[in-house]
Amino acid sequence: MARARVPGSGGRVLVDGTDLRDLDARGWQGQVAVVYQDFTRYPLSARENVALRDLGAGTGHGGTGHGGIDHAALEQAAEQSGAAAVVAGLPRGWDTLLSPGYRGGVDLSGGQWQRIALARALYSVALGARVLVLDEPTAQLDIRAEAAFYNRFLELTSGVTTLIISHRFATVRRADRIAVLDSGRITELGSHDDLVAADGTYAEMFTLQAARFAAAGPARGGSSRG
Amino acid sequence: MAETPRRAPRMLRRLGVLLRTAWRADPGLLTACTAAALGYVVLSLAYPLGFRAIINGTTEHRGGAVVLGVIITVVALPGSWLLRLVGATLGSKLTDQASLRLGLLIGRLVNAAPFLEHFERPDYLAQIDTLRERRRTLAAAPNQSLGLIRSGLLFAGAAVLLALVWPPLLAVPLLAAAPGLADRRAGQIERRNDDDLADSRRLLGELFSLASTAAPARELRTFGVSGALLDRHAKLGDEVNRTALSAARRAASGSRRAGSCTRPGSRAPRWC
Repeated sequence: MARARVPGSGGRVLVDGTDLRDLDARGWQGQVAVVYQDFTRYPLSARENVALRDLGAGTGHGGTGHGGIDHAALEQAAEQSGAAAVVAGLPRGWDTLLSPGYRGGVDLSGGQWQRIALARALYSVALGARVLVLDEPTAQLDIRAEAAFYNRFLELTSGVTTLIISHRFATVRRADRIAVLDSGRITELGSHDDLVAADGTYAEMFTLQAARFAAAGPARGGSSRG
Repeated sequence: MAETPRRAPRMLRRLGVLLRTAWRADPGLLTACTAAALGYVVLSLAYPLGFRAIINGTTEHRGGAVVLGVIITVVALPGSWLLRLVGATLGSKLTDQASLRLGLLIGRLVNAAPFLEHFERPDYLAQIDTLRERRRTLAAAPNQSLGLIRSGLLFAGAAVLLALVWPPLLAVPLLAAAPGLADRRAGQIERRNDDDLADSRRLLGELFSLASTAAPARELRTFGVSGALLDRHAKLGDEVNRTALSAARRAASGSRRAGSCTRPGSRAPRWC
């Protein structure tokens, strides 16, 4: 989807009816915002980590100028992703270097980094990306942050084609269309209700995961009370 | 002046550390290198004595002295060359062995700590970087120290020989002191510069890794910033080069001033 590789000959990806292979790779990549599961932790300032697509506009590591960055979009993306709270806690705010290996640099937890990565993608969306790809977007967030993220999910992705890749049914069930991939092939396609009703692989896995949570629920509650 | 008594034991301690590293790396090789260095000094100082015996024997018509002089010269002159060559070959091997030992030592020390603080604190990281980058230089230090000892002995021997010829000639070797001081100053500038640039050099390496590793490169393409990152890399590289060049110029100007001190007729530089 992100056109990082030349599409293979088995099947086609169409963008408004045009084969992805016929589109200019760089032009298309500018239309896509992606949060990869193994997103990169750049040894740059918090501002540049979020406004990555405007990297050339700033003066960089230790620099002070960031003229080409859209500050309103930056703040909005940070608010939407929950990164604003992370930035507020940094010693030099947006100018803090996010790498503990450098003078004045700090490290973030996995969940904090994931919020920064989400903000990075949402900044791109604010600046015109039309497709948002989220690969396990909340895997490193705690339950509360995950719930907050999904409570705002429709607002965040409004007007944008969003593709979510996830093993979590709490994430997947919110999608309009769910594609079940098995050995590299789409084996089931439909809404959550459709797929549960079809009683196939999706329904089986959903039931298994739901049962696990149901079994774990009372035990965890009991332990916290004790 | 007050520092001189403290400086000498510190230098000796450093020399001891360096030679101990080489000894632990390969005791036999260090012994052979030391023997070659001492043999070279003895033979290098012996052949001028052979020349003297030949000249004195000839002018004084003493055949025995001429023969002795010829024997000394024939043995000592090629012998000193041979030992110089053997010493260089063995020294190179000693450097390799010391480098290997230092590599193992650095690896063990870095991995021995049960915590990861040294990977996250800039001052520790700068030290580890410097150690890694200068491992080869550090490994060459035992061999260079031997060379220094060899030069010192030759220097002292030459001074004695010159004094035997005409005592005022003793002043000639002292002119070598100024370039020595300049080298020391240049070394200090270089070390300070390396410390100042450690962060920038590390970032340069990290930016290169980001641009040349699959996962970050994929993300950089998606966000359309591969070019910007390369520009940043080039700009930072220019800054590092400019700063390093400026430090090298400062070091070289010190050396030039020291060199001018040794040229006949030149004005004495302010600090020599």
